Amino acid sequence: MTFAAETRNVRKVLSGTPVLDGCDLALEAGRLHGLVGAGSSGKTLVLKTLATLLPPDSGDVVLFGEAADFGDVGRLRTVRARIGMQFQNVALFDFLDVAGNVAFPLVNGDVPVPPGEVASRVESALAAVGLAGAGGLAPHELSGGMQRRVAIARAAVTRAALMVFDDPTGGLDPVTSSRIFGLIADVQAASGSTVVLASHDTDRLARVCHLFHVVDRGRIAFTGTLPDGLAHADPAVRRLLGGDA
Amino acid sequence: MELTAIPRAVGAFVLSAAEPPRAWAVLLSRSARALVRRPPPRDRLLSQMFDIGNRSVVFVAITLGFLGAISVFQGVMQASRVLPDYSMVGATLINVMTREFGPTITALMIATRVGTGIAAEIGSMVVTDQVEAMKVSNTDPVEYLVAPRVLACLVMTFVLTVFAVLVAVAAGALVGYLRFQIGFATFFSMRLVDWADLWEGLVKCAAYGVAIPVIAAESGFRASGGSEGVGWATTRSVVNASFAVIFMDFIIASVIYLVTG
Repeated sequence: MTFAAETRNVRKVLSGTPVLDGCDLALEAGRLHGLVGAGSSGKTLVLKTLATLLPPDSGDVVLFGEAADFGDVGRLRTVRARIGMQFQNVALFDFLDVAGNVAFPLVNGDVPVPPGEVASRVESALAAVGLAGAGGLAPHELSGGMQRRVAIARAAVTRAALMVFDDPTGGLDPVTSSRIFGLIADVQAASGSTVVLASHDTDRLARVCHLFHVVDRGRIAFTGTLPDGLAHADPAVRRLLGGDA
Repeated sequence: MELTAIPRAVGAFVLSAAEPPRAWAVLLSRSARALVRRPPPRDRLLSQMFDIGNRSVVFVAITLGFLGAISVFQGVMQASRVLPDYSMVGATLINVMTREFGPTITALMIATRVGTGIAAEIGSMVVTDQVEAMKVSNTDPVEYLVAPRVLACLVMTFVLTVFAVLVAVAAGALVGYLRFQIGFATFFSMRLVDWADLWEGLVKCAAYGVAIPVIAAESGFRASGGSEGVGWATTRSVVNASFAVIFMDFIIASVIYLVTG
């Protein structure tokens, strides 16, 4: 079994509170992983640690078989070139239009993509999320659901080996949520990338994810398939996966 | 009270006071390296220069225009107490504007108008995860956000200072002519301006032009939380940048005075 990304006994303290406390997460390569947990359980921090945005106080982050060196900016950039992330609060650049946002990782990375290829990849990324023709709009002209779809397109446009989605359907209606989960599953199926998707919406996660990880108080309380999770001895795991406590 | 309490408190104060200058130095060095490694694209640089100039030009013109006019009034009032000879009023104003008020007051205006804008822009990008999105897109936020602003602000501080000095001297000349009948030929005298004055003005422009965006950007990067954090970042930016301008003014003027006598 090959793992695309792992956190090994990661510990992180913020403002005196341990927010990650011996977090062991292993993401099997080429699968779609669901990350589930109560609010403030540490899901976003786990994702930011995997995306090399949050250096742990102790423990290791292993990406594509190599331990990430958070002190080596050059090596971090090499690793980040293989990661795409959609943030919980969308984080679209408000000084760029939609096309500029999606093109950003292609144009500004260490190895810029040729302009002709940028245009075609942006076009196809926007078409994939159902926003063909919206490239000239400013982010503030879009609805919440459209902004999230743009963020998904930006995370996926580099065809990264590891894609991280943090609550991509937060605050959206059920129809749009189902559509967005479907889009992410399509992106994963087409690219074969490793995808990790954090959400509270376990019903819809269950339709697309291959494996589940339950975060509880800064550590991984369960890893496995949904049926295994629903039969887990820990009532907290069963409850977080949508089963009976 | 423990014997070590006072030295510890003093040490903690010194360390906390030294932290912002250390952070500015680190950001300045990273910006300089970014400018050398990958100079910003021309369109992004020109857009920043336009933004900085456009944001400040009216503000600077009004402030320095009134300052020039007030300086002539005050100068004439002081001169008339000694002897009613106003022939040096224009020359003195040009000297003072070139070496002191032109660069320094313009820089304070830029710190207020442009510095706060930089701090607010970067601060709001920090609290909305846009800076992290930049990092994960493999883009160095310092290279993308700070370096072009430092270069643009450096250039525009020179441009705005020259413009500000011209406006101040013109306003002063107008007041001198209309109120005190000082002829333009007498007023526009360069006899008190030498190379040392020009150098002093230029050195100050360069120092302020680099310091303001660096201090503002550093304040923006420290923003946390939400809109309140952005508000604190802009306040910190204007306070620190204004203080830095006044402090650098004193240091540069002292050094040039010691060197040139």
